[in-house]
Amino acid sequence: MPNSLIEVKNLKMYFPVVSGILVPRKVSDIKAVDDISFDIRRGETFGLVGESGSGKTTVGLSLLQLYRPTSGQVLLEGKDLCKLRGSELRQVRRRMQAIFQDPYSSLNPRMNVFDIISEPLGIHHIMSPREYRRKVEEMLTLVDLDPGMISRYPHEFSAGERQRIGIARALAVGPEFIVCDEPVSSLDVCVQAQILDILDSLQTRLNLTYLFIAHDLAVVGYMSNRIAVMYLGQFVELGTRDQIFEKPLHPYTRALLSAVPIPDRAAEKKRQRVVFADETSGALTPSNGCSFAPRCTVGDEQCHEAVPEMEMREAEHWVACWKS
Amino acid sequence: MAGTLLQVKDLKTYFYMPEATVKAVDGVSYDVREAETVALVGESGSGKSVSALSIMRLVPYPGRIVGGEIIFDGENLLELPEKRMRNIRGRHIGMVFQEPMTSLNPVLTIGAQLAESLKVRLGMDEGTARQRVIELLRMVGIRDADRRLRSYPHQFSGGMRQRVMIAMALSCNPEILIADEPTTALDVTTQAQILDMMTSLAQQMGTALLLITHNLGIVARYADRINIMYEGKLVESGTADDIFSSPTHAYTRKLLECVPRIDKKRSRLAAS
Repeated sequence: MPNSLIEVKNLKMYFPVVSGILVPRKVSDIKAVDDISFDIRRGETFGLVGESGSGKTTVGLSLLQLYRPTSGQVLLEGKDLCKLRGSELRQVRRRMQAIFQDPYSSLNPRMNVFDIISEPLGIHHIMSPREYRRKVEEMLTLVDLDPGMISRYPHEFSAGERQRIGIARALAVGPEFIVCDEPVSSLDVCVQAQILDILDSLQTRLNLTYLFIAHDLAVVGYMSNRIAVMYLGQFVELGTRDQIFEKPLHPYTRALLSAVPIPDRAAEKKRQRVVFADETSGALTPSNGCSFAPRCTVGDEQCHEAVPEMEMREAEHWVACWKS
Repeated sequence: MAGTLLQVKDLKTYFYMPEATVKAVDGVSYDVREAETVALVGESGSGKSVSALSIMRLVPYPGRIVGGEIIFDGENLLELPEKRMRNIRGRHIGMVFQEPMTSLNPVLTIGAQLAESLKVRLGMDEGTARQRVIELLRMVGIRDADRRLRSYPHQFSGGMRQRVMIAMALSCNPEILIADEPTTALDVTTQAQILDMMTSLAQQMGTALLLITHNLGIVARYADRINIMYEGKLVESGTADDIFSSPTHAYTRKLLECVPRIDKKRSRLAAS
C-alpha cells in the first residue's frame, strides 16, 4: 500500500438551489461533487482535469475544508478533517495551503509584499513578529524574487511575479500539501513554463504534495504523476500520467485528449479526431445511467439505464464505463 | 497562387500615454491571400490585437495609427473617409472578438442583433433579414434557430455565444474574417468544435481568415501561414510547415519549447 497523505472517501458536495422570496425553500441540489473517492500519496502530484463546471475546484476547496462537504470523509493521515472545528481545524490548515488562478485578485492590492506573506504567519502564530522579516525574505528568495522588493505592492509586479508571491505566501507556514488551482492558466506560455518549473523544484526541495487542478491537459500531463478526469462531478477515469495519455479508456478522456491541438504541424496532421455530441445537438436527454451517456458515441441502452462504477482495469488504472 | 487580398505595410500604431509613448505595433508588414488562413501569433502585449484593430481602424484612444499602409482591394484603408470605412467594416472585413459576452448587447435578442447588420449593411427588409438570420444560425450549428433567435445572450453558453458572433461576422459574406482569440475563454472540446466550424465555413464561403492567437497548437492545426510577433515587431513569418519544422528565430524556438505537449513524455520546458 503506497503511503497516502490524503484519502478521500465518498466525497459529496451539494449546493442547494433555493426558490421563493418570502418563504425561501430548497427546491433541489446542484451536485458539484458527487461521490468521489481517491487518495493522494506523499510527494506526488495528483492532477485533476475536466471542463469548466465539472467540479474540479470544488474538490480542491472541499479538501481544504473551505467548503464543508455534504457528506463523505477527507482523511489527512487518517484524521477526518470534515469533523474538525475551530482551533483544531486551524492547526490542520497550517499543513494545507492553496495557490489560486488569478494573481490579480488573489493578492490584496492594499497590502505590500511583506504584509501579504507574513499574514499567514500571524494567523498561525508560527514565530515571533520580530522574525517575520527574515522569514519573508527567505520565502522571496525561495521563489526567485529579489528580497529587496519586500515593501512593494502587487500592482508593481508582473503576472508571473505575482504568482510567485502567491506561492511564497502559501509556503510561508511550511505546509505539506498544496492545492494548485489553475496556477498558470492566466499566464503567457513562457511565464507558465517558469512557474511550472518553480513548483516542480519546490516540490522536490520541500517534499511537497500537490493537488494540481487545470483545464489544460498538456499542463496537467507535464506536472502530474497520476491524473483523474472529472465529468459532471464524478471521476470517469483515474490512472498514471502515461495510462491516461497513452491508453485512455473512457470515451470522454479520448475526446478530451483529441480536442487538444498539438503545437507541431507534422504530429497534428497525422492525428485522428474523436468527436462527441456537443451542446448544439439539441436537448440532451438526461440519463439514469452514466452521466456521459447523452454525449457518448459508443454508448447503448445499458449506459442509459445503469450507472457504471469505477473499476480497476489494470494496476492503478480505473475507469467508470460499461463499454471500455 | 491566390491573389493578395489584404496587405499590411510597415504599420505603426503607437499609444500616447502621459508618461511615455508605447509602440504597440512598430513597423509590421504581412499579407493575407484569398481563402487562406493566416495566423498572427504572440504573447499578451505583443501587439497582435492592436494590429488587427488597426486594420478595422478601431484603435482605442490614446492609440493612433502613425504610419504605414493597409491595402485592401487596391485602396489604402488608412486614407478612406470614415463613411467609406464604415462600409468596409462588417461588409468586407468581419471581426470576431475574444469575449462573446461583452461583444453582444445584453438587452437585445440574438435575432435582433443579427438582423441589424443585415438591414443596415445590405438593406434587407424585416422578413428577409429574419429568414437570413435563421439560415445563419443553422450554419453555425445552432439548432431550433427559429426559436433560439428570440433568446437573449445570457441564455446562451459561452460556446453558443461565440457561434452567434461568428454568424454575425459572416452575415455579409466578408472577404476576410479577423478572429481575435476567438476561443480563449472556452473549454478545449468547445474550442475544437468552434474552430472546426469556423474554418470549414470560411473555406466554403471562400473567406480568408486572419486568426490571432497565442496558442501554437491551434496554429499548427488550422493555419496555412504564420506571422510571429514580439514586442510590436514581426520576428518571423513563413508557411506553417516551415515554421514548425525549422523555426529560425530564437523567440519562435523558445515559444515552441515553452509549451508542454500531450504527445511527448516529460522533458524540461525552456523556462526563462
